[in-house]
Amino acid sequence: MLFPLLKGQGYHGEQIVDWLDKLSIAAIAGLTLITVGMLANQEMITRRHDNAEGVAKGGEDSYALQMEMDKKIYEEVVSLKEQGHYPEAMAKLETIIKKYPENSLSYVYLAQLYLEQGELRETIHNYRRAVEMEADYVDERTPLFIGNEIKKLVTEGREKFSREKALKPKDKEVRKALKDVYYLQSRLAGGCE
Amino acid sequence: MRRIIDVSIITGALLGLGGVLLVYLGNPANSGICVSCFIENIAGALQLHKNIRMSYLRPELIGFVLGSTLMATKTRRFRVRGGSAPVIRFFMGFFLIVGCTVFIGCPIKMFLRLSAGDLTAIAATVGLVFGVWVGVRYIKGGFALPRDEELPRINGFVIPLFTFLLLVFLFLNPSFIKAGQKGPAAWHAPLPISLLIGLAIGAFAQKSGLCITGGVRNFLLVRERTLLNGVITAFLVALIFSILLGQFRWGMNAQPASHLSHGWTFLAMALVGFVSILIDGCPFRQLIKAGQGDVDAGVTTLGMLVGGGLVYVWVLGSTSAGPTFQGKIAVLIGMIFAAVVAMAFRKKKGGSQSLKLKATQL
Amino acid sequence: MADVTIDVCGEVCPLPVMKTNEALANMKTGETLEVIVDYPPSRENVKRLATSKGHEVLDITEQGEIIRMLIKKA
Repeated sequence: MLFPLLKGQGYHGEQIVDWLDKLSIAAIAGLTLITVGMLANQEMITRRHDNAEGVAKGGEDSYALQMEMDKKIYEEVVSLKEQGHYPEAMAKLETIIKKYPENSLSYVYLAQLYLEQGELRETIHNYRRAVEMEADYVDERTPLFIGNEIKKLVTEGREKFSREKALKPKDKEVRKALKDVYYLQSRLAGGCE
Repeated sequence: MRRIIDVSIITGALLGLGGVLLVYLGNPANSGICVSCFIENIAGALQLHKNIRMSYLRPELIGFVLGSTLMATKTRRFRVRGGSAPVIRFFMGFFLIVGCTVFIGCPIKMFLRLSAGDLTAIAATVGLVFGVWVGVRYIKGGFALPRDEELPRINGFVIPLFTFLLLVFLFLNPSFIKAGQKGPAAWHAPLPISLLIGLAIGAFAQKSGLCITGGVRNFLLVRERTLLNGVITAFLVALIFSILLGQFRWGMNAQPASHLSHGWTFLAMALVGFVSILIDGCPFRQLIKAGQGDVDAGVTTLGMLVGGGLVYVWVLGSTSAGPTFQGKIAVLIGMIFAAVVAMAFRKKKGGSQSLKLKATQL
Repeated sequence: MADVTIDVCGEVCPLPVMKTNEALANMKTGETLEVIVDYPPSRENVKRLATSKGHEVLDITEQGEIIRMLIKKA
């Protein structure tokens, strides 16, 4: 009657709707509404096709190949950085990020540039973006590993931002910075992800 | 009487000790034993997903199934039964893995995380107990999946034989079995030790019927604590050894493979608890039952294996950054699916022939 | 003959366990309960419930599919 599902083998014909049924129907309806609402609110993620191909790479050869390519892409950035022309280097990185949005190395360089300018918060944030894109940065078994540098920075960052949070507990920027620190520490702690 | 209680506690102690020891010997942090993570790893090894960082034929899990088979055959408890709502069980297995992957861990890893000081597992524990409680409400309201029946013996050997095949692959290393050299896949204890610990736990779990959700269920349903004592033992043993081996780190932030979306953690584990009650057993218990000839649990196990592949292909799993959008949706759909099944399979009191309960005073 | 008999044939676990628990709770110490089940896994489960709660399982007989268990309330 209410739910064709409730009929059928073993369920003895009689349609009794008790409190548990009513509660179930309400819960199912509620959950369905939430699900549909969430789906409607989200542009469906369709651009994630990088997963299948992106993760298929592996092995020493592909690392070497990638590093070779990266060397060319970032040649200019590195030389600008070495000469201390930070704004120019960052402008160049911007264009590279537009051209190669999938290349996580841009964020590593961005982080390093911010570090040399003493911007710890931005440094950590960009390391987070890099690690989110490429787990190998915190994986000591890969040639990309830069976990030790990141570890030093987040330890420093955790102290600094915790102090700042104690002073300004409601500051959104500080909270965001702490979240980045925790994220990176979580990743550095390993685990199954 | 003593004996049954002891077996449950021994199993619990083995689980707790094994969970911590395996991390000490090389497994990923807080993942000494995690049925869902291991299933995902095995799915990767079989190339059901292509994330090489998560591809390794975990010997522990093979040990669980085969340990159960060996013990069941030895004690004549290898009973081949099945035929109860197979497709529903398959998808329940899938949603078990969905719930686990959104939390990042099965119920066993949940208390291993807790015992290592990871406070984000508290929301998960509350969620799991809540899910079990909901399931118990439905059982009290007359829920039961259709009855399983005795099947020809050959049926019961399929999953153990398949698992044995995986064991052969583990030693022969054929090229179509992938083993990641980086990421969590590269973190593993030496193969023989993993396998032996797995076998021992599987054998004792078969004998005791230890089940995380079952322990909570039996307590809520009939105030019976045998299994719950095992679960508590596992937690305490893990806690002690995790402190002794220096793995204990107290706190909410910066824990390995954990996120701070407590609401979704709660809901994901509520899904796992609820589903586990509906199909009678947490992911771990499903493996043990599959090993002792339960074909229904075998179907659930296959559902879990497919789930272990699809959660990566569909990016349902959470990371330290939190759950993904798809993951959240999958948890909600799982909840809806479980609730509909729970509702549809109720036999109600007052129905024409429900509950043939005759309490005749003589 | 038992003081109380429950027949849970046709049911699957955990219902027989639940019903056994309910029946035992409503009995006096020393009385006996006969549980009739036809679901093999229930045999172990009911037995485990009874022993872990301190009751005594006096006898288990099997006639074909039907299993009769005699439990004495402690």
